[in-house]
Amino acid sequence: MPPVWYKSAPYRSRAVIDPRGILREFGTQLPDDVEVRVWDSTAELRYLVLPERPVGTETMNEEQLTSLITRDAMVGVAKVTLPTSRGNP
Amino acid sequence: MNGAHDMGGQRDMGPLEYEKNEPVFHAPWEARVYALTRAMRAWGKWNLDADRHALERLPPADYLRMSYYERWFHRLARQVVEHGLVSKEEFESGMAAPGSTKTPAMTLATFPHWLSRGIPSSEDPNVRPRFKVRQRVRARNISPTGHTRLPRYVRGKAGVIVRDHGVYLFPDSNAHFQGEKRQHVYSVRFTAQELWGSRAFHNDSVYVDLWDDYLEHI
Repeated sequence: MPPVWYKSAPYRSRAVIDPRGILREFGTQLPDDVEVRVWDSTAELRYLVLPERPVGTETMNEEQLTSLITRDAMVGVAKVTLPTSRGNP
Repeated sequence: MNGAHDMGGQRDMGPLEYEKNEPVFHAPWEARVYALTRAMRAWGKWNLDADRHALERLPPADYLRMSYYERWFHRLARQVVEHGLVSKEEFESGMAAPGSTKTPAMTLATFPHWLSRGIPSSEDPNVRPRFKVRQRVRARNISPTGHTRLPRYVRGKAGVIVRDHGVYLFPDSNAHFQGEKRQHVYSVRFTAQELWGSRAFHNDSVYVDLWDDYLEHI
């Protein structure tokens, strides 16, 4: 089930016109050369977000990697971070 | 229908209210409304598209004020009365009218597939696509008075077909029980600048899933 904010008017109205602004509110600052593609799910298709694997996780096993995943990362508004850097600006 | 629900591209609708460790439901009644909504579809009196349209037909001020599951509750109340499963009096009193046998209790024996899910879709070769991948198309500038899944913000805009998803029921007719009109659905890429003007970010884009009937040749 998606979180409440995902189904709310503020998110639904802005996601298509101001995706970078929304991501900033989630603490995700994207460089200008990163292309943003918004997928507006207007039909019966649903999309699975595959979070980008963070640098420094090369030696982790599946269980350790799974523990890094957050709901926000699966929704696509946050990056997956290592525990040491999580919470830092 | 050009309604309050079709809000893509609007601004200033309030802050994002993020909740840390949010529960699946915030109150038991929400879970109940969710389950009832899923279960009541098993009567087959209405389909998923009609259910979506019933949400859109809530008065706009109510639609924006209500929480997600409040909307679901009011939709369900409307559907069961409009489709004759219960009378308005029965709904308000919570009691079956004396002698009423119209809507017997739902049980697993009578509705073994009550939660059966699945959206009718197929790779039907008899339904020909009108467009090809990489073709430039324009979203039609139409304002249907009934249900539609063509967002206002893409109408009249040009885009490119990036994928053919196969054949799906056409919501604009299916929601009104006017036939399935099965047709191809495509992922169509619109640049942010085409949608929002030259001040939009130059390499951003929005991908929208659109039915054949929503598109025209350029």
